[in-house]
Amino acid sequence: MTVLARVGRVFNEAFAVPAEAISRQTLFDDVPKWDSLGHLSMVAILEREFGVQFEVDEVMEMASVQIILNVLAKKGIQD
Amino acid sequence: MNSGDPNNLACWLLQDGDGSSPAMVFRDRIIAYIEVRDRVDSLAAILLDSGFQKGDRIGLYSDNCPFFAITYLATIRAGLCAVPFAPGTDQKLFRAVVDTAGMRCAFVQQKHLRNAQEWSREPGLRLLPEPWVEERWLAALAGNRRTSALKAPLIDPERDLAVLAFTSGSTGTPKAVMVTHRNIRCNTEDIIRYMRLTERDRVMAVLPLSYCFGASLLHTHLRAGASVVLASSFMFPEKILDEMEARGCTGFAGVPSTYQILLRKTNFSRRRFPALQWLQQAGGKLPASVIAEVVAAQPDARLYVMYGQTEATARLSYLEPSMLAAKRGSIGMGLASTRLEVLNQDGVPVAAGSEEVGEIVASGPNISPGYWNSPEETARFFRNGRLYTGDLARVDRDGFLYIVDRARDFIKSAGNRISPQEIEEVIASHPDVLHVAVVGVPDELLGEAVAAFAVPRAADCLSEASLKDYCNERLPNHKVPQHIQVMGRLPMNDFGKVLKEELRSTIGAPRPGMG
Repeated sequence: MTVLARVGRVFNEAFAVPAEAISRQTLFDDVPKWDSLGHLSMVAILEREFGVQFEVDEVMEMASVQIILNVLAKKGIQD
Repeated sequence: MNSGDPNNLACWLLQDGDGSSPAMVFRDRIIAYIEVRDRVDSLAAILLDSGFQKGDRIGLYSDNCPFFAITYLATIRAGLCAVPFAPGTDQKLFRAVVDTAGMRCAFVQQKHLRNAQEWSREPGLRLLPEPWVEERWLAALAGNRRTSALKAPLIDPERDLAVLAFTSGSTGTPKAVMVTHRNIRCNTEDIIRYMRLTERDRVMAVLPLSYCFGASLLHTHLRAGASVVLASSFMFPEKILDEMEARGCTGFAGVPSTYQILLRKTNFSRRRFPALQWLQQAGGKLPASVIAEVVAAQPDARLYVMYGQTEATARLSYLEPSMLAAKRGSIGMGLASTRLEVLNQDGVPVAAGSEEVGEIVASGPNISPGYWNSPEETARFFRNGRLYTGDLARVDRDGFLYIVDRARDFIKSAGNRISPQEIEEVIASHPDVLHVAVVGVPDELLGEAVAAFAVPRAADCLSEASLKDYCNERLPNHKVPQHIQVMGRLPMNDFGKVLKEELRSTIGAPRPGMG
């Protein structure tokens, strides 16, 4: 499974959106439940899914799927 | 757009913008005035062809984006009445708005479609989703439909409603404020004049357009032939600042919580925005110490402190930026065509320059005719064409108004009348406090006890004990909060207004040893 597909799965769990609806272009304001509380729960699920910890600055920056993929890549998680 | 009906608000707003100039910017899309006019006229014609009649209420469920702006203007252009939903609308509020407005149809942004479909089944609401609008626009383009085909009903600007604006205030019960074409036009003219807006202005609009303050940004900038950068959320505030800088915004508008977040959570005070000329603040009182911080953060920008209500279209007063220091804490004076009086319990104006406090009562062409289908509520707040705002204020000898508090927010403790704002000001001046709210809670001994709720700038940087010390050093004993609670977030409505009723209910019986 690609990293993008796994992020899609996280979004499905955090925001109840179909995983396949998630693309690199998806922005936080495309997803109805991606508000500040939803963001924190999404971050927690991402950490569990990929076994990583994010810095506060990284969390504050993750406003799109592409940025999430970039942050994960910096932690060595990429296809 | 042909020049259209001069009394129609949408025609008037879009009348002067240069066709090739940008009217709206959203992400990587720039929409020029010519396209806005074409889309608005074309969609208005489609609405009328679909059988809608003058005055029909059309819902609008969308975040800030061109879809919101175009469908809003087209609804008004067609002589119909736009009813925006607040961004965080849930099923209960959705249905309350649909029922109260007697709405049969609503525009829905794609992102909200699933919720809207689920919630609208029972009321039998017809939804017009984003693709529906886009397909008809493309079909109209292909058919080269001429705008002369649009035969919109003529508008009586003093009677016909452009918008039905739902307001929850701080109590949570939604009321629908009727806003006429003339209300918006007059308020827009006044704001453009005192802000000195020109076609060179460009505002960052991150406040929801469904909120009267956000809508006023759209109205004023379109009428001035200027442009609006639309942003749909303030969740990543540093990115909003990036975009302001990249887009060369000349202005920014926010409510108190917006400015608290900018100062405590972003690099606002360390960044420079070469194009920035002004900042607008309304939607509640920003503590004087925070106002000073905002001014210090962006010394080259004029800061407008303003006061308004949905019942007054948007704006009632403003303080000229040059008077900020001399009239610290004031909301200024009424707009050019708005008369503000401060009346005591006998209905007599309070003496200027005295400490006497009265209710702000407003009259003028921006005052709404009242609440939709609610004669009792209308009679309570609108009497003889005047709006009784429920806000208490005093007047200095130069005629500047100072809001003291909402009448119902005063705390009555051990025989004292305590203004929550005064305590909020002190706590907000603490460098680790992001948001604060102070309310009165029932107390057996005191009648009411002072309770303060504070949100820290970052987790674990603030303790209840240190805040208590901070208050002890700066407030007389009877004003030092008996209850202090540090919490992750305050209950707020979608427009950043703290829901004080909800806070009061979080404290039941006073904690032992603290009452």
